[in-house]
Amino acid sequence: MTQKKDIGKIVRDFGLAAVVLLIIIVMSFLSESFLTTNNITNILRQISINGVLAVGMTFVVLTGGIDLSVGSLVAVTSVICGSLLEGEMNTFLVCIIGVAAAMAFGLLNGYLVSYVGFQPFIATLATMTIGRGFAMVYADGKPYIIKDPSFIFIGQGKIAGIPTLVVILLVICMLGIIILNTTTFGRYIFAIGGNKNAARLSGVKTKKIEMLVYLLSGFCCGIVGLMLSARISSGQPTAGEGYELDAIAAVAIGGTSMNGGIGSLRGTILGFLILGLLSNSMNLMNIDSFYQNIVKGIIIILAVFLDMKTKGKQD
Amino acid sequence: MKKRMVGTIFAVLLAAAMTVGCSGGADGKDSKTEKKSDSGSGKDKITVGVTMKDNSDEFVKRIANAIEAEGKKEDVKILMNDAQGDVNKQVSDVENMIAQGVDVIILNAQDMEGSSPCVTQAKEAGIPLIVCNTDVSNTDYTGFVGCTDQESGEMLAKWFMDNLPKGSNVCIIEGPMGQAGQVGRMEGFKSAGMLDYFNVLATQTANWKRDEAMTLAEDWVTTYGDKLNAIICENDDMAMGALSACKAAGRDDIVIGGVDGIDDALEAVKNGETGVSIVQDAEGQGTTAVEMAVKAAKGEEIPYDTRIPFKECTSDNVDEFLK
Amino acid sequence: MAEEKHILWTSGISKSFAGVKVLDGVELNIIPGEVHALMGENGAGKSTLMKIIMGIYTKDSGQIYFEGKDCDFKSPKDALEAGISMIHQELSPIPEMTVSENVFLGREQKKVKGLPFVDKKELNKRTQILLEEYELTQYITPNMKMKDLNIAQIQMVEIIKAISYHSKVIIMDEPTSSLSEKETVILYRIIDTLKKNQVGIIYISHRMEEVFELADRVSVLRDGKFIGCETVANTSREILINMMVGRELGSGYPKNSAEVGEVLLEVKDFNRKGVFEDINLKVRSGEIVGMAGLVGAGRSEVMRALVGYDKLDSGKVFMQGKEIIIKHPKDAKQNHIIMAPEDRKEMGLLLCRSIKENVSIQNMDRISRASFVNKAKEKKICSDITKQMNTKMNSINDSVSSLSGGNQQKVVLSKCLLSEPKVLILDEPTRGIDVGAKAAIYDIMVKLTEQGIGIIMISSEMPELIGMSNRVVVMSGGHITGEIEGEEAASQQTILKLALGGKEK
Repeated sequence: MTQKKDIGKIVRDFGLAAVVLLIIIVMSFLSESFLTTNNITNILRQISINGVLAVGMTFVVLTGGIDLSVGSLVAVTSVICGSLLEGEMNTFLVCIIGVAAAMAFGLLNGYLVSYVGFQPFIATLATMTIGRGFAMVYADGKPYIIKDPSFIFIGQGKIAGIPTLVVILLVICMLGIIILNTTTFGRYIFAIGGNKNAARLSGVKTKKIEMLVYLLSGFCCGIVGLMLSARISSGQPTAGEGYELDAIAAVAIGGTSMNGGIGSLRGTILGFLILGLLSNSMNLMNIDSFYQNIVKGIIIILAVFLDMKTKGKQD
Repeated sequence: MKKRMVGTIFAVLLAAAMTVGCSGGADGKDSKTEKKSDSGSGKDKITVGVTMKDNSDEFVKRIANAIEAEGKKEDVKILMNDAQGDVNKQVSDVENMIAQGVDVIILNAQDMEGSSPCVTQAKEAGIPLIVCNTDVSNTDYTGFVGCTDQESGEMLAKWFMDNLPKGSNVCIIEGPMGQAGQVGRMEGFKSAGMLDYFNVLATQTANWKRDEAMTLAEDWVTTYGDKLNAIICENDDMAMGALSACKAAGRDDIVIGGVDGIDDALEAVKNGETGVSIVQDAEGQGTTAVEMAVKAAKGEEIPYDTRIPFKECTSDNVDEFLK
Repeated sequence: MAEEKHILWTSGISKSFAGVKVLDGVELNIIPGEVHALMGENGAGKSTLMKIIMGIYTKDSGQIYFEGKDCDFKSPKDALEAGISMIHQELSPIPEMTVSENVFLGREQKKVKGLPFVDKKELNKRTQILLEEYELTQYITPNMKMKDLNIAQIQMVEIIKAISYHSKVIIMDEPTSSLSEKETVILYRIIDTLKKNQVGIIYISHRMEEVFELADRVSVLRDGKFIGCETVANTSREILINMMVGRELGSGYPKNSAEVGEVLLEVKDFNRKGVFEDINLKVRSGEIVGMAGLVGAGRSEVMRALVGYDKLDSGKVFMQGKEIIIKHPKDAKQNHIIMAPEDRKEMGLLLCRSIKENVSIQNMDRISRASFVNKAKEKKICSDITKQMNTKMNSINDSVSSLSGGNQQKVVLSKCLLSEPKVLILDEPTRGIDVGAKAAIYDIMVKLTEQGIGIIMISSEMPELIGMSNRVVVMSGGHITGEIEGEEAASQQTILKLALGGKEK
């Protein structure tokens, strides 16, 4: 029984890693520029945005919830930072306020879900529309131009030769892994996703934990808001449209169960790596974006199918 | 129970706070709704129903603002509707305006085909309809104010053909496939002969989005390396994305240009970072559309096709555009 | 034996679930126009038998004769169309539909044949005729919406529906369990009319007085076996209870020799509206307090409220004489009151997680420091406790769902014991587990009492209650109806009497 399960686990993890390798091998034959330092940097930079969101999303999905509002919260941070930077406020302070704004929405999500008892889908759908509307109204539909060089450093600078964006991604991933795998908070998240009633009876403050999880997702949105605005030197109310779906896709590909309780950040990391690699590869080969969408969808189906198969073996 | 109550109150307060906070930012929006409610009573004033394709688009918003301003000047009621990029909403907006009994409609079509029913409905209701800025395939309207997307495509193509040697390697970033802007501008590229004049390495859509264009440009700069001479963008937002990517790669030799004349694009032209922005006269279009609408509502004859010319903004004349 | 007067006759019905025989050669025969009571303890096989008759389950062997023909219904619809219907204990009407739509659900009269337009007038008319026949017009009209009806009214609609199918046998599963006295009288009157119309009624009930008032004959099941069928006029309460309990006192329970000491836990005046009332309870150290009662008596609910899982309207808890406030299971845990719930899947375990995580989740305070989990310590503590419990597993990293029921229960006990209980609440600790595991759990319980832990054990198994408990508290209808101590506890009859006769007290 156990051996079977372990094999299943190995197949799943190995399967995803194999997909990553396969893409890399195939692409290195198809395109000369694929394995260049420049392109690798590009890929890492491009996945950093979705990556950070997917980390936050993983936490939420592990509790059995979902956060549809992430894309909108990115826009909230983006316009707030844009406007404050136009007013030439201290960069550090701007970042704090921007992230705090997204976290406030995250808190609202958490409150509605855990204490009021809304379904996560509905609660975050509401904040998604509110957040987008807020960003639009706040910016009056127009983008802010960002010129502050120290802010732009977040999106375009490099630390020790590594793009800042990638450094942020690495830090967030590492923090995420530490929180999820080594803290009591991480255990409680798995427990709530596994069986909320049992967790509660075991003395876990389930409501508080759930609320914190949405707050954490809001934090990731805030960070992405900074990253994206700095990357495109602009605070845009339309920023992050549809990002929630990419983040959910990465989580799903990574083998995290949408019912919660099962999953890992390692899987999610492989998930957004696959999505980023695919999109980069297809751009390099100048494949029509319509086909790109189809390929993305097929990958999700295959990944989840693989997941179901390996899980079926367990039982 | 108590907690739940507090929660609900909190949520309501938050919503209220936002509405208040919002109205500050979007001056005039509240007064619009007021106008809507009493539109039946004030029969003496002309009511102009407006449906914009998407006010979250900076350029569209500028037209909308010009329409509002001109409406105030002409002393007519403006019923502003925002289709938010949804053609379905646009059609129902027009239905609602007809039901409300507006005197004239200004249509900023979301979709060339999809917005055609708006024209038919207005015609059937006997309400004059002015198409503003965007093309619509049903041409049975009272008048058109604006410029065609094809024209802007042609101007952009011509500028690049004048400034780059024949056979240069270029990439093209398009708008959302099938949207009038994308179709028209691509048509312009073709009719100007640009696609044959240059060696087109790649054509991809970035859906008018800055970040998507940036990703594309990054990938291209890597793939094509020094070969790449220019990135031609169907709008300025995407041109700005491409510019960021080229700057990051240290490629100031790549020539970039776009359409719309948004603020940071003009600035980039001024700094010599991009070559050109084809500027539509948003204010001119909005203002003229209202003028035509008022005339049509009074039953006066108006020209079927009014063209507001494009302007080419380059480093030579950029200061005219920077206000 | 298939006499002509029997409308329904079953012979030698057997059924097993996962290797456990739940019905073993059961006989039952019904005469038209009689009320035939069916009695037995929880789990005796009454519902399974009814579900087999209705075609919800398939029987492993045996025959069902209906109107003299050998029948084997494949679905409730088959049974319904043949003329057998069942009024379930839990009713599930479609709330937005009217009474008449519900009665004729699935066989609506069409205005024009072949077109999907329902002739509501016709439906209403036919419903009205039935209501008049059973004198129910003052309670319901055909046009009422189901969602506006109370349970009694819904039950009436269900009966009318059964009649509309021209049912010759109607099965009623504890129909009075949620009715008031007044409503019960109306039900009795309906049953009288049904009898006059020669309908045979199988009446499942736990209430003795009801059986004696209403039934003509009574059949008793015990442990899946048919014990006997008596004419009500020729039997007595005592005879029936003996038939239901039957077996000799449970042996094979470990001797509980622990010294009963001071009062550990005291529950005072627990109230939760509509669930339980005036609950007072004491648990001493080294004592096992059995909680007896039928399903729905409110035992689990009281315990869940005690540990802060459910809400409580009023009541106080004292631990070793000091009042404590419990608002969340965490508070209970801090006061060393630990509960192992009845349903492992529902409330006990994180099925998709490992054995280790299941054990440690309740005991993070012991294995973490500044919110960081000490994995080495976790591994050691979890290994030790599960080994101590003799849990059969390969590794503590295995998914808990890979274990058998008995071993899952040991995991639940492991996590509870790690929390160092002073009072341990075990809700049906041996349900659904095999004999060997049962014995192991009894041994653990005795060992715990020797350490001075007080145990509250909810159980529906009489022998277990009597064999293990120092004291048995009986609940019925949300009230404590009696407490039996010492030698007196040996009487299953006494307990059952208290559990059945709840409402009078």
